[in-house]
Amino acid sequence: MRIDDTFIHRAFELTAPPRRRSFGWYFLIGIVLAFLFVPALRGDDLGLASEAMIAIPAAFALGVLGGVASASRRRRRKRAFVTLARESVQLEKWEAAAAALEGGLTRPIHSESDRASAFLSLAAVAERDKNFGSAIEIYKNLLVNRIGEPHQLHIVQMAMTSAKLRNEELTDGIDMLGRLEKMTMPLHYRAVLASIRLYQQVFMGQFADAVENLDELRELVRRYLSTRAGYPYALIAKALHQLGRTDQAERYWKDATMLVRPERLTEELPFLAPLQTVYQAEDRPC
Amino acid sequence: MLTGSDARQLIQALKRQLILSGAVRILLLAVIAVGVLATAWLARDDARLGLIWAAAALAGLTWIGLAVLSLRQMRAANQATVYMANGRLDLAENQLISAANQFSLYRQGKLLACHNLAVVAHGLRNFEAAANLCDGVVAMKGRPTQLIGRTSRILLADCRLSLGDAAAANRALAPLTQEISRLSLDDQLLILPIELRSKIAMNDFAGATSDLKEKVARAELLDSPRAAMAHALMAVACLRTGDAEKAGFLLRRARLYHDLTELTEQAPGLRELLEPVTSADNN
Repeated sequence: MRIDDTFIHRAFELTAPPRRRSFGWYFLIGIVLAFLFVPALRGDDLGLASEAMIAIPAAFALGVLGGVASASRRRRRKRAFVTLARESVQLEKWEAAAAALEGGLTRPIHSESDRASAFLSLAAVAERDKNFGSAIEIYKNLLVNRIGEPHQLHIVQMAMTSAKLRNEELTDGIDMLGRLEKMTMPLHYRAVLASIRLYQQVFMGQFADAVENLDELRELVRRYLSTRAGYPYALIAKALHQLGRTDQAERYWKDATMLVRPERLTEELPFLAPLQTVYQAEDRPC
Repeated sequence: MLTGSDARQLIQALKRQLILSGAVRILLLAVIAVGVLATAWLARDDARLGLIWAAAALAGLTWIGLAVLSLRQMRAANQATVYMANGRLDLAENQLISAANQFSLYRQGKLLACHNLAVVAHGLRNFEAAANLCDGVVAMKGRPTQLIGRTSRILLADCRLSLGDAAAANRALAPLTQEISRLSLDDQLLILPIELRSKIAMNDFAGATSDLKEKVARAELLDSPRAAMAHALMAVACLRTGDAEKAGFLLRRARLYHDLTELTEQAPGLRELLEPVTSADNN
């Protein structure tokens, strides 16, 4: 799957939820109501047999119920691809995620939250391929069209900031990061922002700033980032290494590689590669 | 605070109310159906027609009124989750008890209130009440129960473990673990630390280490405290099955995720389960 601007814009167009219900539904409901009320109000049976007076509205009512059931089944099927894509991204099964998204992003998605989740998965696939420009385009579309729940839009803002920095759009990225840091946010979002700030400082060679509040930073990412704390640990190791604090750098590199495999760290953050040759990574027997 | 016997009584009352609401639904539907059929079968000038129509209209209005009340109950149950998110478990508990006691035309609102009440009781470490509520929800049949039932089962297993009854926890989880690959990843992640705890409490160390690589991959997706717990429990299982190297690695990883002492203070019974690795570590 090639994720470029054409694919992204087409996906946003195709997944837009329909604006109004089909007239067919209103017509069917109208027929049922007409058969129920018109004969009573007019005082005659419209020239139809008694059985027809029961069978016709009953058949239409069954049609309405069947239609509603089939529509909700269709929606459930559509949701299944959103879940599959999200879970595949979590489990880092990138090909499965891409395949689910390629097939799923061609039909309207009624729930805005599901739609945002699908596009967040698409952006994750793009970032995995180091296609940060496309990821930024996806985030921009989500923010401009306000697609998703408020917490999803928070995540989009943070992801866009990170993608901008990794795409070397440093001025924009630093501006966005500064604005986000001024906002009131739950602590787990603070931990994400702290790790984005750390990336920016290490990437730009501000090593002393990066390790200024080391204990506080470590506690925050340890508590809220779980396994993903491996990335900030690796960035701290890099900063400490550059500052000549090699004992500490080695400990942080060990912690980082205990959580995330070294090849995965250097694949995502290539400037960490020199650490791999200097410091021993933690052995992983399972 | 809700006691275990209060919870049992609440479930009994809930069962009675569900039977009553089912009967009311059938009665109202029957009156409305008679109204519709009478339009076709009775002559226009039949004196009974007006009466039947009035009864059907009244039944329709009653249905609408009760449906509105039921929706308000659902809203109250959902509003309580806001209190829960803000840590006001006392307010959430009061709101949910009153929602669970109100009459509702639909099962879903009542079951949701009971399930949320069990979550609150679990949050207040009132494991007996939470277990009784979950038991009640799980025992009920019907489609809405299937939706809420999965999380109730997981919560029930956790409560039973906290009450020291690993066999009951295992029984509660069994229908879910048998079809684990068919469950969503979120459910699998909820189940993993509880399943590991119950297996180790029942000395099923081989079961806890089976498919270890996959279990470690799942544990990596948990939040820090639960990831630490899952890793520490897998370390115990590896140590008991004679794989000291893996046990050491998993324990070091567990400590990196979270402080194990803090963890054992929060989860009753966990200290004893983790003793083999923590004592070896201390020595």
